[in-house]
Amino acid sequence: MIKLTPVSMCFLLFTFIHILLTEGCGWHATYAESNYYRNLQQIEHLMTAQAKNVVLVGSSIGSRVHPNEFLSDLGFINLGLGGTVPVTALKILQREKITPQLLLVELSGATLAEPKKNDDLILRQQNKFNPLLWRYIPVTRPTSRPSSMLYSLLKIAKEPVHPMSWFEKYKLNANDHIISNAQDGSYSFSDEVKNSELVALVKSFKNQGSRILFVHLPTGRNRDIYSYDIAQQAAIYLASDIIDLDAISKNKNVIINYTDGLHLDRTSAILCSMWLAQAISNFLKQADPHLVRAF
Amino acid sequence: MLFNSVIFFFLFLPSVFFINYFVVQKWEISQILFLTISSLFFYGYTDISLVILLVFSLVVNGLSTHWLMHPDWSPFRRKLLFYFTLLINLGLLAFFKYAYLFGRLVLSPERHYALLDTLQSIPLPVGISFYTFQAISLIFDVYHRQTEGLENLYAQRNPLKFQLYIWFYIAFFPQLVAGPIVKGHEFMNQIAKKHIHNIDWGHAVKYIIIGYFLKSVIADNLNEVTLTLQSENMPKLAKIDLVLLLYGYSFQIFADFAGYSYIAIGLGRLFGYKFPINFNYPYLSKSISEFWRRWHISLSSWLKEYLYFSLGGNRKGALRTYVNLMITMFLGGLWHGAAWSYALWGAAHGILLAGERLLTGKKINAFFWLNHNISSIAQVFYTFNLVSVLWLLFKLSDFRDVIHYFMSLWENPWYRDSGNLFIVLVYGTPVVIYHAIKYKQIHLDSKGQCRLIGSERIEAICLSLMLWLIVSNIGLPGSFIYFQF
Repeated sequence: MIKLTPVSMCFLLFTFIHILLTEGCGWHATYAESNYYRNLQQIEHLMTAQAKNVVLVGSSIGSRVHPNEFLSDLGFINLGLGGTVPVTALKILQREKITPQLLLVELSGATLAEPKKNDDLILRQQNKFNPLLWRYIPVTRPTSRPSSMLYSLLKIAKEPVHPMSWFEKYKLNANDHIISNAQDGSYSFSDEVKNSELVALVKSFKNQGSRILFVHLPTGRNRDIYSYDIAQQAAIYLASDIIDLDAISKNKNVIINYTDGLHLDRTSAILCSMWLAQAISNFLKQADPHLVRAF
Repeated sequence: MLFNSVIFFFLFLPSVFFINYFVVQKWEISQILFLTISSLFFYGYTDISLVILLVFSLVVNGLSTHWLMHPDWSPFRRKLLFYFTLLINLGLLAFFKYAYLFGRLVLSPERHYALLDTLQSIPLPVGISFYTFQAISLIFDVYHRQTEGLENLYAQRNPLKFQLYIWFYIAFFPQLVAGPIVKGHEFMNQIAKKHIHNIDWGHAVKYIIIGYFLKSVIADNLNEVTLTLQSENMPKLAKIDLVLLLYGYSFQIFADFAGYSYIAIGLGRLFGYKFPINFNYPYLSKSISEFWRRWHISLSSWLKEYLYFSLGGNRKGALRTYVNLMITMFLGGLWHGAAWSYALWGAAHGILLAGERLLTGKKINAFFWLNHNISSIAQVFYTFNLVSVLWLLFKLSDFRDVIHYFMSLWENPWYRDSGNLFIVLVYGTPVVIYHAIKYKQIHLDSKGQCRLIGSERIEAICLSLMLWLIVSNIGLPGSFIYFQF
């Protein structure tokens, strides 16, 4: 018959090693084997981070922008949730009563799309997320999931990135690439926008003091639902300040690579993170002192 | 209430355990009464109206069993009562589960939609197939005077106590909604006053850990990728993904259902009751007939004893045996769900069983040209693949999707980068290891049931590893696949 003491002892040993690796050595999963767990990782960051000055809301396209060394100083949180539309991430922010200084909304085919099954699932599950559990029992955190850690390890090994000097070559200039549709920030949203829920949510954050910026990331064009036309349409309808990383990549003649014809690969994602960080810095230089002080 | 819900594991189970062993432990009857009430609460937690149907079934079967036990009743009266009770049980099952399916065959479209509206307003009685089959097995045994475990109870001449015990047998919460389907003579003898110091903690904890590991870590994580088979993206998947997802579903359905059975068996042990093992390394089977001796054992033995034998079994000639096999498996398939795809799945298994019987009778072995060990592996591989392909009918209820699957398998490119490979490999490997470590013991050393994991030391390490993964690596909690049945 099985004795329970050795089982408990081994369990404690496994848990101790796990905590040592994650908390002691700081080894956390940066990718996940599925959209759902990648989304949980993003939500974990949102709920456990101290600084939440800049939040990017969007779909899996935006989720590739890692809060890496370029963005970490800004208090950047990525709430790009795979398989969902930006409205869902905005609703999560609203529920959690988080009002970032800078709200970055992903501009893609998903921006104007209606929420679907995945969005419902994430919002329903959100009631069950337990930040307290994540905070006090580290092994339950999505970034500590053993399978996600293994997946991250394999992904990083499979997709090596260029050295830092390579990225330095493509740095932005001081005035690069904020396309302002309304320089004074007093832009208004067109009533023609099909997704009225998005407009209402963005307006609500704006009224609470968030500065809204739209971010257009490069995407592969081989999928109809993410067509460039829809993104352009969204840009016209939403008529706000846009950080156009897609245009930057074209101007600088950088070849952007995609893992599946749609999502940025690791190197391209890091490059876009760098551009985004620099574009935000440039934007802050022009912004009102109140906003700058908040950082 | 689901076994994998927080409310069940952290509130219901500890409360019932505590009250059973520390508050109502003085008398056997108080324990049984308490466990029966708790089971009804467990069943009606999400929808109280479900309890009405269950109680109706309990009353009908309890009274019938009592009357069938009566020594002075004439054979005619007993026969009448037996068929009447059988009719009620099957009638309930037919109405709540199959009315929509059969209504489509006999009703006009307008009336069929009206029926659909009516049915949609009634909550689906979870696990109705399980408790109805358990009740049928009881009245069938009693009618045929196989009353082991009931005679002493009947002799006490306490009808209320008799009813309560029958209710407890059918409704005991660990096996109420998804089995194992326990037979009367396996259970009634075990009813007694239970003490906490008699609990077989080792086995109880082992089964519960294995069960939760299979369900929450393996099945729930695999579910995330196998859902792709039902999505609109399925026809765009690469060949390798289509094959991997099929294997993934094969592993998932095993982990889901075996997981539930192990949890049920472990919970039964916590309350002092032994349920039979329901899965005995099914993917190590060398033939479809062996598969059915290892997969969902309680259902296949039920079908064999109460349906196949009732139809005449193999006593009425070869042709009739094949027909009986086909009928049994067709109805067994339909038992799994109210869709023709399930019936087709059952019928396909029936054809394969009949075919195997024919070949075995003629002593034909397709792998005769291989040596014993390789032939053994080839047969296991062949059976696993055959069973996996047939699971498609389970996963894809629309037969057109099954055709699309095979067309995509033929036309699509071999490989496209996706996360499916990682997930199926990571979560499928434990299922493969689980089976592989027993391969030698089952096929090369000895026959029959064997130790679940291995030596005590390895068992302790494996169980603690599973426990650690239950804490740190569970999938998105979903309901059990077999709940719909």
